[in-house]
Amino acid sequence: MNPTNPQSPIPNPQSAIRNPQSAIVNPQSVAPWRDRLFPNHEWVLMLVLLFECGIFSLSGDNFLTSANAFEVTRLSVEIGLLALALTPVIITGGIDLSVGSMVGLAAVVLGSLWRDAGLPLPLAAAAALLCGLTGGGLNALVIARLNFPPLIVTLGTFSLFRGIAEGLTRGIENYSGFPPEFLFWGQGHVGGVVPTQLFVLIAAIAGCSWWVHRTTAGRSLYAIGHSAEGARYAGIEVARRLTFVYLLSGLASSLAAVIYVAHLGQAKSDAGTGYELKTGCV
Amino acid sequence: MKIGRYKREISAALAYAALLALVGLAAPSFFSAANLRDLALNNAPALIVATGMTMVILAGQIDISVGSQFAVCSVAAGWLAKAGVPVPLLLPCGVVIGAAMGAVNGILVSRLRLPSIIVTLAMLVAWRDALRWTTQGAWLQDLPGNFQWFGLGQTAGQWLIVVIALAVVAGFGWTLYNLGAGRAIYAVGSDAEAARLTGIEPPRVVFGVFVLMGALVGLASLLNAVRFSAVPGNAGLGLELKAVAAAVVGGTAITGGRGTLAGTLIGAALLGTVGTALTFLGVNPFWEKAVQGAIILAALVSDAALDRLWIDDFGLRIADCECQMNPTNRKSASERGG
Repeated sequence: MNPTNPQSPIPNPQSAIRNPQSAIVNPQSVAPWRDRLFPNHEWVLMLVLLFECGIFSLSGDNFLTSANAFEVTRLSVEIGLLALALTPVIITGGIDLSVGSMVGLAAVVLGSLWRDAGLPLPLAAAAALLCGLTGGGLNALVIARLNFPPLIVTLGTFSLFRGIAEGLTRGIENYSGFPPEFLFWGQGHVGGVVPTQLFVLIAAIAGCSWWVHRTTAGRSLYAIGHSAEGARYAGIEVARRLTFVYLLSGLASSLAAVIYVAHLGQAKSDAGTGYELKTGCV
Repeated sequence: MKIGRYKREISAALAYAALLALVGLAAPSFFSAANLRDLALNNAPALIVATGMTMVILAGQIDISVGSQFAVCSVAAGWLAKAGVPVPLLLPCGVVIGAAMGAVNGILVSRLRLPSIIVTLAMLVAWRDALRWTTQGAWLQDLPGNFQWFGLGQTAGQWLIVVIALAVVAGFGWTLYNLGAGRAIYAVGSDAEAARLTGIEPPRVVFGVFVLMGALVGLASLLNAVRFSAVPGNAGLGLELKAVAAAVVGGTAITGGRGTLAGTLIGAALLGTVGTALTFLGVNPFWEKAVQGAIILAALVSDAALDRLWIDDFGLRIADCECQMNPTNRKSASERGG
């Protein structure tokens, strides 16, 4: 994007990759706590969020209640899952525009297998996840193996996945009437107040941040984003890492779709419309 | 003329010819004058936006805010018409409003050196939500009677729209190839640093390209709005991806510096015709998006296959050349942009 200045401001990627332990212990332990915890000025975002919450609590009576706080997190689980899976993709310098469409496709697969094919729900949900993996695999194949730009490839699959979802349902089918055991995953509370799907998101956040920040494979993503060619010379299996990243993105999209269906109680081909851009913002 | 240089355009044209032949055999009524006119009318605005998008991509940038700009221009034109601005003045007004929004993108990208995908993503959300807030989602109705078709009547208005769209493609296509300003866009998109050393100012070119993009969006939104008697508040949803797809299917490299408007014309026609063609072939039109996505992927893959087949000017296979220059460079396909 900035050809006159090819040096990107990632601090000292070589040492971070060759020896992740030293990166954690040595250079950063002398940095102030703020830089250690939020290396990319995420604290600015925190301030904005606190400010926004402050405004809303002043202007509305029931904003600043724990029940509302939990309901807000319920709404953000689907977006959060997608944003989480998109983060590794963006770290590698790529993008996945197809996540929103995959939510739609996986939701339709789930709904149609359960209602029309008569599969039990757990099996249908597993099939939806498999569908997400397949779609992610298609992206991964064209991007990582055939070396095409992610923006265009996922623009194609963005259209493809949504089109299949609309074609399968002829744009009119709307699957609903799911049993309460399933809806519990999207509408229920644990201990009377905590939304069920929050646990899914927390587990995913924990797993993802452990993988990205604390494993060699995860840290190698930064090297790929910095320079894919350089990473390859440094012995990183770029194609394999990229494949995994796009598979993960497809899987997270379908997981978000299952929760979306459980949350709204219906599966339609327009599920997740516009999520790709919302997620990119996050 | 070296035909190998236009292999991407040619393969898109062949695909389009195949589609037309298929439809012609299965449903000759597709080629009725009324249907062709409807197709041309429906696709004219998207074609104009794709023209601007091709120039943005040629310069190595991208603009995904065009759909929101399109909506803002449509609604602004509707307001102006209701406020009593004479109809012939609406066209320049729309173009100026669009150019102003394009200038915002242009300043942020060229002066502040922010990545264009992030800037225009922010603008996509900002313009769309600002508009939603102002209009409260309502459609603009009770427009003056002469707003529709610019007061020219339906037949003349339809001709005007199609002629303007084709004139825009032809005019910019000529400019890109024959004027210094057009060549500068290719130069900046190929290698901004090299362009700078030859005396081109890349920031100015990038700024200019975004302003042009906005102006063309303003024009396209007007040509779209006058077809109806009311202005919807949500016009242009998904237009950005349509425009990028048309450029890419027509052979424009997403990394900049390579592509032609002739290719974009073919790409826009191919993607714009598929939906109607499916209906004529008796396929449920809800498969349209799936087929469009498949076309985009097929364009990419055939591109890679073509690279291995075609012989370049020096009698060498292009793929071989690149291997010799950089034997370990497996990323070359993606850097060329497919």
